[in-house]
Amino acid sequence: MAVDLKQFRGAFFEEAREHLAEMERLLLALDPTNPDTENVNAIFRAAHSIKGGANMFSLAEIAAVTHEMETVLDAARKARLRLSGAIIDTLLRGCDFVRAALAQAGADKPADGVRAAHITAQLRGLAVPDAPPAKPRARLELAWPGKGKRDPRKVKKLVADVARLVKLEPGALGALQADLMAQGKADITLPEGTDASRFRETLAFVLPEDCIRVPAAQADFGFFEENLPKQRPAPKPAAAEATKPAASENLSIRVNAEKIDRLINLTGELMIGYSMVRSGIGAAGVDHLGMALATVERNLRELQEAALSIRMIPIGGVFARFPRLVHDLSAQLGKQAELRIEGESTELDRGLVEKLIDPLTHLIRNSLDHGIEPPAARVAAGKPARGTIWLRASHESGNVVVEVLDDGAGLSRERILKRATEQGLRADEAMSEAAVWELIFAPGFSTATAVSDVSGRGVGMDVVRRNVRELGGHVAVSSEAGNGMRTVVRLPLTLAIMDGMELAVGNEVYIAPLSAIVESLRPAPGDLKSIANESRVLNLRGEIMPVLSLAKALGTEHACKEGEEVLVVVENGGRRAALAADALLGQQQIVVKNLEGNFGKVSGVAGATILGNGAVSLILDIPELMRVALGTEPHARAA
Amino acid sequence: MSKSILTVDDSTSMRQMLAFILKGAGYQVVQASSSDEALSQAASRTFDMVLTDQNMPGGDGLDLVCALRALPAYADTPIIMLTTESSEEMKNKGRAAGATGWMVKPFDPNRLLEVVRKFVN
Repeated sequence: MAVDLKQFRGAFFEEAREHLAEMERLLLALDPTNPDTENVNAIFRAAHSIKGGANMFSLAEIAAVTHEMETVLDAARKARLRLSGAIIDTLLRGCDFVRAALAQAGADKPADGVRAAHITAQLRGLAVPDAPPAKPRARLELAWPGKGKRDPRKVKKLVADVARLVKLEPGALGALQADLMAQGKADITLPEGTDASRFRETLAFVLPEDCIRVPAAQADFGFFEENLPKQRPAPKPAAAEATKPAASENLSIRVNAEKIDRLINLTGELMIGYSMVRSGIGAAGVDHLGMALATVERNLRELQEAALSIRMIPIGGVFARFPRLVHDLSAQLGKQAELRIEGESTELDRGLVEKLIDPLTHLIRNSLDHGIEPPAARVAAGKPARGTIWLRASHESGNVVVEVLDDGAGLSRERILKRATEQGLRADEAMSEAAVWELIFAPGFSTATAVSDVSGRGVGMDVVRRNVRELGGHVAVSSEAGNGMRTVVRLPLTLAIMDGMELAVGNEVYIAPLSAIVESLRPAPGDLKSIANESRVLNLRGEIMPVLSLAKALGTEHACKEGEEVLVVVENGGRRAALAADALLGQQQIVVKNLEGNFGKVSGVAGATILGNGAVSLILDIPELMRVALGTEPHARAA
Repeated sequence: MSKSILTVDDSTSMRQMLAFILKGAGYQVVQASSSDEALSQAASRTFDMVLTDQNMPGGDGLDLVCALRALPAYADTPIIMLTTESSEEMKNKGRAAGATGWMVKPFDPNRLLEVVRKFVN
């Protein structure tokens, strides 16, 4: 039967990648002067597993490199080799090669044989001189001459004779005797460097020639005669009792991501359908269905939460790559830095996770490049030579908060103002601290004096902000000169569902995210004031904020007169504005449908949903509307 | 009724391959990814044969063989160890634990079926 095993390679690639991630994590955490034996063992086992699979799938280069890594790790865990930073780095390079080779194999491309040979040679160079070379030793099969019951004394004599001719391993004599007695045949392993066929001649002095066989090839399977069924001796007392299965702490299964997305889409559609039913029934006023509806609604919400929670994965997966980045980059920049990670178990929507990698990478590179000072400078400033970068994630009222902090030099107000002026941006001494920090988000801004290839290309913070905005979040920085800098990224927990407030504007219904709403009010006449170019401001208990007419911003007609509007105060990025709508229609939990697939980016709008009455409702993009309100962006108009 | 085989290996790809090979030959296959899971499976039904990896985190193959042999239902069940090393030491340990036989990884699928058919068909 021709068995095509290639179809299982996919599963092997995934496993191997996980093993590699584990190896890298542990290698980076190893202290060469005092390595944790358990960890070294774990790294060894991981390399061993990858090697096994590579052999099974004929991935020769990966097998060769992991074999050498295994040898080094084996020597290390048996204390025959002392680890050092250089050895760990070589092992890390081995990991890099395997990762690349896995990717190539996955794309059906051949592996880089030259690089493999290079890494193999480097790894071999680390091996300890007295490590026993693993060469298979020749074996011979001996058979007892004659049939019938074997005389123990005669067997013993033969064994003694053989022992005089062949230097056997300790314990081998006993095994030889036992096997010959029990089975009438036995294997012996010859000393290193011995040629099997020559030895056969020697042994012929004590055994007939036809009782000595050179095995044709190393057998790759075999049986233990005495354990074959029907010949088994009485069950031995078990060395280990049959253990109860450990409580499954982390029972998990792999599921195709597309299936998850389909499930979530269906629950979304179900919610929409349910809203339609409910509003239909409401209109007819059939009250006794209220209880049934409440039950269905409760079940639907739970189903939805459960489905959405499947999409949530711990952010630790994204964070895992950064220790390596910091390790390599700090070496490259001649700085010393340590990365501390907190909140790895914080969960967020998997759709967000991949997209966070680029912005976070840039922020961390920034910290290393511009923030953390060279060791000498730090010591001179009374700081420890080694800088620290913190990467933290947490949940905060419906948002995921990711922070990058460093204890470096912080932002320099003067340099930023100077650079901003050079670039023709609005910048003056009177600006508040927050306003100055905002300048670094301008496109093309960078205060790097020399453009290092790491992060000084000036494509930095504006791209970070754009990336974060696309995810529905926002980013802000704060800094203390000499003490360091803090960047905070806030993202909605999930893109798929949201609590919203329905607002009537003209003939349309729009949704404002509830999380952005601070309060709503009907203003007293004295609270509103008109100022230049048709703008208005609201005085809310002493706080002045701009008023934005949604009708004007979105290009619809107001149904009611000015002065009869309702104002919705929204907050974003620490600032507030009041949105003027015709009426509040009530709160809804809504399913967000992304518009961009169909229409491209629409101004002022961040998605859409379908209301209970079947109408499409657009979801307001609060950050963008606020920028319009604050005058930092020209009026947006919806299509 | 077709014979059932319990396959134990912490590597998903290895389990998938074994299942593919064995099911293709008409056997019922149940997979376990650890020694503990295997014992749990073995307790709930009696398999006609067990194939187990040696190197697994948690309890290794030898531990599993010992534990299985302690169960009356498995006193005579053919148990084959799939292992990356075939040293004398490993073989002796396997024999002492009560394994029926051994097979080296990577293996030829046809050879595996040969061994399996010797005990169950």
